[in-house]
Amino acid sequence: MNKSEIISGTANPTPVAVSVSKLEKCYQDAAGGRQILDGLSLEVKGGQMVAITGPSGSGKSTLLNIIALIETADAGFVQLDGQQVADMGEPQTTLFRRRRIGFIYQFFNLIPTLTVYENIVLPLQLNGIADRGRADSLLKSTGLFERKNSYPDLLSGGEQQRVSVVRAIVHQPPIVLADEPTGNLDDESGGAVLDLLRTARDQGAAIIMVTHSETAASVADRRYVLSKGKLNVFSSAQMSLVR
Amino acid sequence: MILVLISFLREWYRHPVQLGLSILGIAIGVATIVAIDLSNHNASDSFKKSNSLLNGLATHRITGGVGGINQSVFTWLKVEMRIYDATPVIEARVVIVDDGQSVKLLGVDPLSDRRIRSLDSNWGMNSVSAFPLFVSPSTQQRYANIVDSGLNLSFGGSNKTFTISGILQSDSDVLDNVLVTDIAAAQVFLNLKENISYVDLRVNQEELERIQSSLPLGVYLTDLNSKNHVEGEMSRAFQTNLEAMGLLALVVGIFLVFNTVSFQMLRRKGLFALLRVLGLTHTHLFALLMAEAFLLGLVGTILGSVLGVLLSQVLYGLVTNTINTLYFDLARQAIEVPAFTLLKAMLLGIGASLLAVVYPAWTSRRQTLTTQLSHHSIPQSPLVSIRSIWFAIVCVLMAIGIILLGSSLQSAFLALFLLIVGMCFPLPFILSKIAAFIETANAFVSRPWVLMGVRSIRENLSRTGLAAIALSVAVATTLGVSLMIDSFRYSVDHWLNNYLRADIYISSSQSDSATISPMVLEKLSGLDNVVSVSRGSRSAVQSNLGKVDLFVLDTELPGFKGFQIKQGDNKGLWNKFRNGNAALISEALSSRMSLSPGDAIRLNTDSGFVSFTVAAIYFDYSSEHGVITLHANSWRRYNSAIGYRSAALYLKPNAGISVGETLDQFERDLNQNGILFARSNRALKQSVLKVFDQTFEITGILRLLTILIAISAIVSALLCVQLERRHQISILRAIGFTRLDLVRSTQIHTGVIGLVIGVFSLPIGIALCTVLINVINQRSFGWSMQTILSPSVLGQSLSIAIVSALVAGVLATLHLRKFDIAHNLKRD
Repeated sequence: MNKSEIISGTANPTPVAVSVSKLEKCYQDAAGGRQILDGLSLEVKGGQMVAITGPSGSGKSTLLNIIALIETADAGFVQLDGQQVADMGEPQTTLFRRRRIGFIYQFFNLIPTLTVYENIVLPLQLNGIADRGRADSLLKSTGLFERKNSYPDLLSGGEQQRVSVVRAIVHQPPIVLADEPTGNLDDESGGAVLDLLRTARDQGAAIIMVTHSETAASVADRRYVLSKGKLNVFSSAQMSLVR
Repeated sequence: MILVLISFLREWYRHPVQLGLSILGIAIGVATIVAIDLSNHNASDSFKKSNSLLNGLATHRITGGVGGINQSVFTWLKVEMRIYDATPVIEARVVIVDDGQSVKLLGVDPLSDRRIRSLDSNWGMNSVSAFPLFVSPSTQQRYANIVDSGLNLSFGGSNKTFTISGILQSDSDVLDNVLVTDIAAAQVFLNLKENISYVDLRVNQEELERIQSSLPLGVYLTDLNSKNHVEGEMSRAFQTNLEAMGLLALVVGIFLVFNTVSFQMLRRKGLFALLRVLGLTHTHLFALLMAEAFLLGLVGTILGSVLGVLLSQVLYGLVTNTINTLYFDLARQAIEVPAFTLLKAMLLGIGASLLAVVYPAWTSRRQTLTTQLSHHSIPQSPLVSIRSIWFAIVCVLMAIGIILLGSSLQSAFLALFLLIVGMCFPLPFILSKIAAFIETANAFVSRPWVLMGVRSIRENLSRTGLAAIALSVAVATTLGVSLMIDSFRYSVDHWLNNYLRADIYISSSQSDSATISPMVLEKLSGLDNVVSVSRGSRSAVQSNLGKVDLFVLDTELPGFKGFQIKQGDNKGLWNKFRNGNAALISEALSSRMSLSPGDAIRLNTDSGFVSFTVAAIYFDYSSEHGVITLHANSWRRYNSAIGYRSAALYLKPNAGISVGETLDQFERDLNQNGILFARSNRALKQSVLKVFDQTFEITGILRLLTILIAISAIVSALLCVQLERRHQISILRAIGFTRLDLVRSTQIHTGVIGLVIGVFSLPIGIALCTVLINVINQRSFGWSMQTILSPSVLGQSLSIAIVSALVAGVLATLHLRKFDIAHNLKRD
């Protein structure tokens, strides 16, 4: 199996949801330029969950931001859900993100002035989806239905993160990006969040999760380590050892 | 989209203080401009209504020289000229004894008057009194309890009881300060013998030419339209200055609105970024923010309009008082609110709010979402960049260019605006440098609360920068206007001390047309202790340059020395003035008519137009339209008689008789009927300065308003900073900062801002004062004055800036008393 095959996952007919190649990203700071991504490539198919680990400052969040079209790379190619994004301008990138990407943050980033239900319904409303059935069923399945009229600041961290995940997947985007989704949670809450992500994967979403947590990384189908601007496959032996 | 809008509205609901401050900011800004607009509009409206009602259908007015006209002129008009639409009028200011109120008394002929005016269709029919009085409905109500016994009027020391015999039919309240009586009753009461004030007439072109060709000597025909125009023009400069003050308050108000709204944008940048990540496009977000700003602006504008209407009641009173004192009689009316004023308020209030959204929205477009999502990233404000210095230089250069190239009042105001705003703009940049310097200096003191205080200045300049500019604009404006008024007052005081050299001044206490009898004038020099008597007569004459005020002065050298010559050769001037055809002109006239020494001006005399040479220009603050002064010897050469209206008595110094004793003797021997009014030099100066102070009372209120708006801006900005710093404050409290440390830290923050604003505003205020004195006043009134930099005024401004900032700091720390550390740590 060559490197590209490893990175693209197993050979199956599911289309590639995320494909990035030769990504370059450099930040300028007082000490000069700092190369964060150095020719990085990655492919993730629908129904696949990959975990990316790596030391702080290695560029994990930057990679997610580039895939989420929040940041742009200095060089390289990004193809999402079959579309080249290089030529997209505003508002195409925003509309793409609205419809095809769900984003989960370590610090939840819920809108404090909207209730749990309103936070979850917001992506549906933005996408013009009138049916609220999926929102209700996700709320029920995550045990949040009773709290749907509460404001986020009255929820525990685990509950807030569950809301955040539900908000990211409620409109069934083909790509879900999670930036340390369990970083702020205890094991039980973290487990509930990972269950939700697994459900989304099983429903066909491509999930890219950046994490420091071995538990979280272990549920992924593939696992990579980001180091010196490049992705390295976390080998089966390493995985077994961890497990 | 609806959910996003709801989240915005809930955000405001959760932060009522910030919402209140934002709306208040917009409201105060709008209120100021509405109040000034309404008071000016209503003053102009009263003027038009007064003219329309009191002049009626009259097209022209026949007046006399300085002493009114003989009633035979009316007979001549009727019988010989066959002008039937003509009516004789006597006009004087009298006092209602019961409450001391000064009102205008019109004596009219009921029969002929109804052909010109429609004051009352039935008047005179029920009159059974020799002294009937017709009053407006509200005057009748005001004196309802004394109507039966009649209204006691006083004029020139004599009192007479008039019987209220009818109500003037007018739905306007311009007649509230007017009493109307029968012309014969007025003639007797005012002791005018066979004289009347003027004849109003309605004539066509043919009749006009007929009258003009055979006007008797000493009788003048005035076009009422042009008279009204001149009077309207007289108060226009005053009103323009008032509007300019209002605009400056508005500029500060716009800063406040801009600061508040843009601050709220900055505070919620994380939320906006999150919405963008969720898929809200820039365009949608921008539209929502505009909708939110529109709502804020609308509520603020409605509240501000209501406040403005209330405030206009006070300002309108002050405007009418000033116009009454300085220009012409203006009746007060109920405040009318024209739709245009409300539209203007809407445009300004809502416009400024919308504008405040555009810039932050535009800058956020240029930032990456990652930057915006970061909790601690505050975009570097362009105000804190060196570019602000370049902006200031460009503004100042443009201002200088406009002043040098333009000549209108409007261009001068534009230059003034550019100068203030431009010079205040680098303030945040300077603040950041000073804070950095203090931070370095503090390294030696090592007080953590000093460090936190000055550090927060730099950290929060993108939030407080605009508010600091607003306070700086307000302080500089207040300082500039205060220095100008102080310089003006000093110049007027200095001028009065020079100009008023006599010990006693006597004038007629009757109407403008009343003169002092020659017999009395002769007897004045016979009073004990009087060394010499100067006599003066001021009236309007026709010149080759239009109508001008002429002051004919019969004086000796001591009186002449009162003229402070600005331009012209002093050598031999007295001789030329006394014996030649030399005229002295005031600088206002020189500026208005572009006259210089050596130029000629032709005046209409009894012998036709005669040329007088401008010998010198003198300082004079008595009239913004200027005056030409001639010695009586010159004028007498071409005119049959001079009716003097004033006299000045020079007393023997150190003669053991006081001014008061001479005044008593004058009242006892020469003024038993009280038709003359004598005042000591000191009393006259005091009364002139009182009028001066009254004129600027309104600017005092506007200055106070401007400062209040600016204080609101700085309080609002600091409060918002404090609210936003809750997490930081809770960390500081958790690691051992006491409440006192936090208060001290905040006071360092605000105190340094206040001190820097105070010091920074001094040169800007002085520059503003220089433009006000040398450009605005020159173009408005033609007066020059000495610039006085009074230390007390400078100190006052510095104190205003520091105290305002410290008060803002105190208000901003009030919430620390109930600060919940755990809650705020958790919340963030």
